[in-house]
Amino acid sequence: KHLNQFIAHSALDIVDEAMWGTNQMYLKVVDRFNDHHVSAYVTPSGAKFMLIHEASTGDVRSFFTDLHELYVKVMMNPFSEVNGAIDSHQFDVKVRGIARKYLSG
Amino acid sequence: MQGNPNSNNRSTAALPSGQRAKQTGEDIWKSRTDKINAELFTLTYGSLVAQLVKDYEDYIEVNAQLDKMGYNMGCRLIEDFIAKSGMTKCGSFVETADVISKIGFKMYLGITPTITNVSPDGKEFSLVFEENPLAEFVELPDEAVRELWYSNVLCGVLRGALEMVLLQVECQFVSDVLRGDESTEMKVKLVKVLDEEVPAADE
Repeated sequence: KHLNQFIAHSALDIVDEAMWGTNQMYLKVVDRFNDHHVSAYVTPSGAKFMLIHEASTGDVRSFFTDLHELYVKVMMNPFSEVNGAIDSHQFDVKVRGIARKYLSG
Repeated sequence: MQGNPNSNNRSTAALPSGQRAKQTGEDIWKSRTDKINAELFTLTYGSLVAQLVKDYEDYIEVNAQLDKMGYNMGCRLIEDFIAKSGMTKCGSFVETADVISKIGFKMYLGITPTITNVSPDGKEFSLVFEENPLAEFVELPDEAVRELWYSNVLCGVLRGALEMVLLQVECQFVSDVLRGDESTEMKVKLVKVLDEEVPAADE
């Protein structure tokens, strides 16, 4: 489980490169590590969403789209820090909800 | 002339005042108010509260400041309100409540809070807000949840505006959905009716 953090961070460089190659927000799978796939989604403001999953996971694009919407709502909160950690319990619950909805694992 | 709900003729005494108030409020909201983007408004008020929280670091003090700001706004707002709505004296405090909700709040925020909990002597009532444009997207930080009344500026506005028409009231929130309560409710209590006197210097 601790490996996940390493995988995500090492894939960050690849995301940084890949995002300039396309004008799409959804970057699909950017990296593979054994059987872990890393999918990425970059918002226009530069925020990067990364998802580590197995190959057979469901509709990742829709998950990222909904996640983007939730992210925007969190940013609209006057008490949130712009680049800080998001520790809203509600956000956590909602993300788990859409994860259940779109991702089979 | 009698009982025509769409008539704007306010000199007709036959209409029930509740219906008339609602119609007046809607008419003014539709035609005689300038509009502003809702997100801009919410973000402006939000950064105001967030900045106050950072500056004072004491939520009770922030509540007091919001109330003071609201009071200053209310004292000036009442003139605009009377000019736009052309309202004359209300017959009772309960009628005042109706006017506040259906015309006042409608004109300035586009909402009509529900009037509940009218006390038997007619000196107290509650406003229940189903929606609150001030607080869209807002989530209170944990320390604030117990102590901050996010929309406290509204209490000050009511207090200031009513004082200018010689009604001294106390307003405070008793519940707020931002705090996890079921509804957002503000209690308004009439303390006394003031006599005309030389206005005190602005604070």
